[in-house]
Amino acid sequence: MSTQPQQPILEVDRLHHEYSAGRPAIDSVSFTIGSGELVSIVGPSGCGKTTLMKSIAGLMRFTSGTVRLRGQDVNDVPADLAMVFQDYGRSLFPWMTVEANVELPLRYLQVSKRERKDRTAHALAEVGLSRDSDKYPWQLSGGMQQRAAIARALAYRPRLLLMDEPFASVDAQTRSDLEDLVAAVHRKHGTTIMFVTHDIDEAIYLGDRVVVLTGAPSRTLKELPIDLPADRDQIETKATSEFIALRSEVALLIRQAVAESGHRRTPQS
Amino acid sequence: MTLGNVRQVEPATEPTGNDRAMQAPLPAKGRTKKSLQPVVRGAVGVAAFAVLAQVATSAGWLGSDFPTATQVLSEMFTLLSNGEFLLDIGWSLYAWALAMVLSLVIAVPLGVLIGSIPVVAKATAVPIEILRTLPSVALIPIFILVLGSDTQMKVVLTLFATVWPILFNTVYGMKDLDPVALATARSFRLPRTAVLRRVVLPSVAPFVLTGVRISAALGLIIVVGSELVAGSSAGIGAYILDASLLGTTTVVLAGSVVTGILGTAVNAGLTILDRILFAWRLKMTAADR
Ligand SMILES: Nc1ncnc2c1ncn2[C@@H]1O[C@H](COP(=O)(O)OP(=O)(O)O)[C@@H](O)[C@H]1O
Ligand SMILES: [Mg+2]
Repeated sequence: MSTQPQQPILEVDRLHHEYSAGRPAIDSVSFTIGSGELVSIVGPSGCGKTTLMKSIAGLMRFTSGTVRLRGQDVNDVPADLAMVFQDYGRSLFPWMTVEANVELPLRYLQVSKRERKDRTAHALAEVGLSRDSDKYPWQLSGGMQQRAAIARALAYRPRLLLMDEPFASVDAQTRSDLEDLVAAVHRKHGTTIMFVTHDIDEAIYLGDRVVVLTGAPSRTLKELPIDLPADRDQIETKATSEFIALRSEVALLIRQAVAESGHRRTPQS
Repeated sequence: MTLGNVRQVEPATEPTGNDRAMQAPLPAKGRTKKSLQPVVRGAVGVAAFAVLAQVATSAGWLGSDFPTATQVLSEMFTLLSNGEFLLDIGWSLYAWALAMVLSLVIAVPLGVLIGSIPVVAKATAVPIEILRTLPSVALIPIFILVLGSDTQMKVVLTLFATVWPILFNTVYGMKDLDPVALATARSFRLPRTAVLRRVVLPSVAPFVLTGVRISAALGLIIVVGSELVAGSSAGIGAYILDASLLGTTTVVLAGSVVTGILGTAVNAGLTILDRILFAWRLKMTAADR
């Protein structure tokens, strides 16, 4: 299903960033995300995905270009935006229970205590952690920790959810389950999600659209609509000829881009 | 030295199994065995030392006037049933506790500031280096002159030694703040005070406690020592001083042993507190690193 972006929530235009002058981490990245869309951003390791994420989240200043969230330039960390980090182990606070972790950001919103408790309980139920709410993060498996981090983001009810390679550190089975969890949340609540990954299968499986980035320093290479049915299945969907065709297309694009960026970079390095 | 922003946010990429939690808590049996071992070893050490002391003193190696270990021990029990001496213990502990609380009040906020604002770190580096190398014993005459020879003097003098371990450990803890944890807090727009209360302080708390443990033992020695040197009117040191003037060596030694036992007890208490409060650190290190 490809939802045409009606009114873009996020507009990234020619974003460029150099950590040190003359050595760009991101060359030029542009894309938009419409309300209710799940857009996968796929690119090889080190191409600047985390940098892109942090720029959008207002966690760092980028060198040039624009990031607009609902028409507003992003300077500070925008309200109603939530992030899920790859490193769940360090993103959850180990001195708080799972429930306290999920509840924490809500304490600083204009939300009554009752609603706060409600939202927390719902979010925990949604990710299947109701029975573990009193546990501490370090008492949970990696996959469950990432569920807790997702619950925290969901309870916050962001207009835009940023996920930075959230499942790169969990095993394959857990990863499939978590992917389906994200798909289910997206379908059920229509949450707008920017899902960053280096995994082509994951990008296609989850995305309404896929934005393909080149190798470092990244440029936007191509945007592909994903015309797969909304109800996807880990085994069946991935076996369809459409999926396989998309996968080869993206893989070829990245391979070419990496080769090209190799050429571009040779004089420098 | 730049503090706070030295580390970049770079998520670790090591694959992690989903059953790590099962490895985290050590099996109960192994745990008790492990934690009992040092106690047993400590007891053996103390016993060995006591025997050695008894042999040395009764054989007269330390001079024929030197009291034997058993004499010192029995004198210690006499002292502990002596109301006057107990009151003196109280006075020493009072000065010590005040110094510890003040150390915390000074060192933790200062450490947090130094650890989060590079300008403060730069501005304070040299003064701190100078102040901390001043030996507090050398300051006793000045402090007596200004503050007299009782609680005020004891507290300030002790403070002068006990702030540093807490301060340096706090700064060290600030360097250990996890950039991902901080980025998470910022991404949810936690107000500054909330970041401080919910993220920064819990992160540095174990480090602070380590500092407190070092300071606590040190502080007790300095309190009693300053009472001795300054001729305070109350405190364990004052009691020991009186005894030494009367030439009762047994009492002097018994008083010193009591001080040592107090220090050990405080240290043990803080170690247990550390285990209870910061269990998550042990588990985290067991599971993650
Ligand atoms: N804080 C930083 N300072 C300097 N260089 C950085 C910093 N963070 C990332 N980089 C560099 O920028 C490039 C892109 O990194 P990153 O955005 O983490 O890529 P990705 O998330 O796609 O793996 C890499 O070469 C990385 O070494
Ligand atoms: Mg990354």
